[in-house]
Amino acid sequence: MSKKKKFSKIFDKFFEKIYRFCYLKTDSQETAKDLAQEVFLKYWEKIEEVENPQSFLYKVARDLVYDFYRKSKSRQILPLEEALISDCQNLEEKIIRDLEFERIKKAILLLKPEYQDVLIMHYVEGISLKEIAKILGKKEGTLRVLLFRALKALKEKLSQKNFSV
Amino acid sequence: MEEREIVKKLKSLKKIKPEKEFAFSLKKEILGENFFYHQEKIRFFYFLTFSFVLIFSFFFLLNFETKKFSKTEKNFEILSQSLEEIKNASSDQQKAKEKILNFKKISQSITPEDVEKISKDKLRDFVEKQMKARKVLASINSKYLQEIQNPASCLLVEKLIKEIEQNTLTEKQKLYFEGAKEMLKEGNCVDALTNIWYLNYIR
Repeated sequence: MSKKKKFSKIFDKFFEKIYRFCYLKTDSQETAKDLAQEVFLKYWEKIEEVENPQSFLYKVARDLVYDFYRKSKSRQILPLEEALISDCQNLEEKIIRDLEFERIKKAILLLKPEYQDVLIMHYVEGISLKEIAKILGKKEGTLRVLLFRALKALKEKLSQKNFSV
Repeated sequence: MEEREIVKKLKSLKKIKPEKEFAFSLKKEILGENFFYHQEKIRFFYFLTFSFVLIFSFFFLLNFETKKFSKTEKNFEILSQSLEEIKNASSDQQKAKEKILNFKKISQSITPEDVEKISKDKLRDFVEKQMKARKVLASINSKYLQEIQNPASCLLVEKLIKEIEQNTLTEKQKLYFEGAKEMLKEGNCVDALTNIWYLNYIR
């Protein structure tokens, strides 16, 4: 299979997933676009060395999201109140969106990055724990515990009385 | 909130999707000009192939039909020519015999489809020539008359009868026409043709 054909196939299969991963981790469409673009540019450069494209793409995406928060201090994990204020600026959009959908999205953003990763990868994208273990470089047993804790943390966030979008 | 409910909500996040245009343009950008070129090249190739097949089929069919039609026209020309030769060979019985055999040979290659294709003018011309030839043959030897009766003549008579049925005839013409139909039924195509020919001269 030629390099272009291989890239095209992987792009079609994973672009949406990687974009969604970046979007859920940054809550910005523009940032998600930039990061997803960067991920696939890196994949294009290393395509011949990459054995597991899924693992490679998520690893790069995670690193880029980390870099993004590191470089832009203002985008570091927002306190809940700040997140709420910033979103109030676009009232029209907020009305159109599903409130519950927004709630869960916001709640994820308030979790630890590693909790976000396992929740998004496992529950949103349906990646098996075995595969996530490869991506995150952790043992499957450790991931099971991490997933349990992540879900518990999310539940706590959503149960907070003052948590609303 | 139950865990099951949270998981359901998490799964609902799957509806977050990038804009299709963005994904397409990014892919194009990464793959460079060649991506677009490649797509266009494939499209152009299919277009070219399709056009070629279409044009080829069109010309093939046209050529085939023209050739087929030309062959029919040519056979009728030869047949008419042969009748003309029979008429001109009235002084030479042997020659007339040869021409009759030649006429029979050519007329055997005429099919019902050929008769259907032939124009009215050609048909009229053929009938006239056949009548003239018939007169000549009758003066030489009446037994030759049956020789110019052939499947092609019978098919021509059938076609002529179908065409004449569409026309309005005088009482006298009707008599001749009915006679021609009877003769055709009896298998006497040459006489049927004679009656049809007479229709032109009676009112």
